[in-house]
Amino acid sequence: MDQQTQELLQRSKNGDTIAFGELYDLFADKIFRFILMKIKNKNEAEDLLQEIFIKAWQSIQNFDPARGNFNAWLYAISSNTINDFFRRTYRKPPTVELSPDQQIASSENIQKEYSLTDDLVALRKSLKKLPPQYQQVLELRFLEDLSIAETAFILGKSGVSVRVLQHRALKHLREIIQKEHHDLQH
Amino acid sequence: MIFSIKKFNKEIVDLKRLAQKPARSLDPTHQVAIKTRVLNAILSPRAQSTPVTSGWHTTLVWLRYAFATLVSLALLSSGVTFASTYAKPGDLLFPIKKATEQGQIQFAATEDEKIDLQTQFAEKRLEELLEIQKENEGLPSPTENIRPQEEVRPQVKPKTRAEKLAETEVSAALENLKNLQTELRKKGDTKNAENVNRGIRKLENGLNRKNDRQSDDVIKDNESREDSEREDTETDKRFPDDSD
Repeated sequence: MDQQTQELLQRSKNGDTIAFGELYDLFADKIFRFILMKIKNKNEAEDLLQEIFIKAWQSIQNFDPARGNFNAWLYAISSNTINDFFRRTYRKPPTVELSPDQQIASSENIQKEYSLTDDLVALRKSLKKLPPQYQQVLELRFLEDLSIAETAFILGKSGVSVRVLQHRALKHLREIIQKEHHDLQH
Repeated sequence: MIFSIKKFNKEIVDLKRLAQKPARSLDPTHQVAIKTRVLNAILSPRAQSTPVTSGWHTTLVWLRYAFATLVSLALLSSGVTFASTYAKPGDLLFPIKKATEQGQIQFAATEDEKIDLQTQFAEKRLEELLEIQKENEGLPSPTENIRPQEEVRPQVKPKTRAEKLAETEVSAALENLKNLQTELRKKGDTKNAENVNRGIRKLENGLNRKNDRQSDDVIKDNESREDSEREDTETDKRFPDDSD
């Protein structure tokens, strides 16, 4: 954890809302992109971002830097909030009416928006085919660029378990990519 | 090592390339709006705890409200409350001032009075911000003690902690008024909604005026720097340094 974050965190723990606002400025975009990887609706992602930071403020007193850094802690809150969101959504399926200017988060749109090359589009599709646990560990480790320790903190696992999990996930991902490549050729 | 991932280098590189693609970033205006909502929620005493529904928790919540009411009443009658009347954001007594205001709103006799008080207190937040800004202008600038040759660029006085805090309070008050206005409109109470709207406009105009003033300060600083640089150049031309 860098010194600036540490200082802002300490001030936030003492009830300094300005410091917490500055922490928000530092992490909001990163967390938003993490939410958007799971939830394609921008408005819902923004609502969740707000919920995550309110939760972070409410439990900032319980944050123990000895157990993990602030970044990992925030990702853990985000992960739980996203899971809660899905539980709520599955219990009460939303009836969303899309206006013409709203984009449907289909893989075609994603491809168009990000101008991904074919191999990266294929990789994204393969990633989605992995079991959720494998998907999550790869997203945290390589897309969010978090360390083994941070990923372990978020997933509530030991460092060794994360190493095993990422190894299996990469192996599985390679198998899926190879299978798809093979299917395309035949 | 058994779980070495080196052999998956290609997959890892591709995953990292996937992460580098321009993801949909948070719109800066939305980022500010969400920040205001977060700060508004955390500054509001009601939002300090999450909603709970079980019987025991409900009793606890009621006890907490009863205790808060008693404390508010006690504070209302004490000198501390009086002393806090002039407190501004960042002052030790400011939270007491806000608690007293909340108490006044809670105990307002009528709904109209409650709305009036909310608007009035929101306007007070703006007055406090302007006062703090005025006080800040009276403070020596950080560049005043620096010799001219060391001064690289003009500096507008940085915002003090109190000023930042006051700005947050104004943003929160503005957000509160907007929410109140929406509620009133939903209820069909157009008269009070219009009163609240006047408060909103006052706050927005005040904030705009404040920002305009700050922009003017930057322009003035730039102009004065350019003038002094021009004078220096002319002086150098007239009196070239003959030390060589």
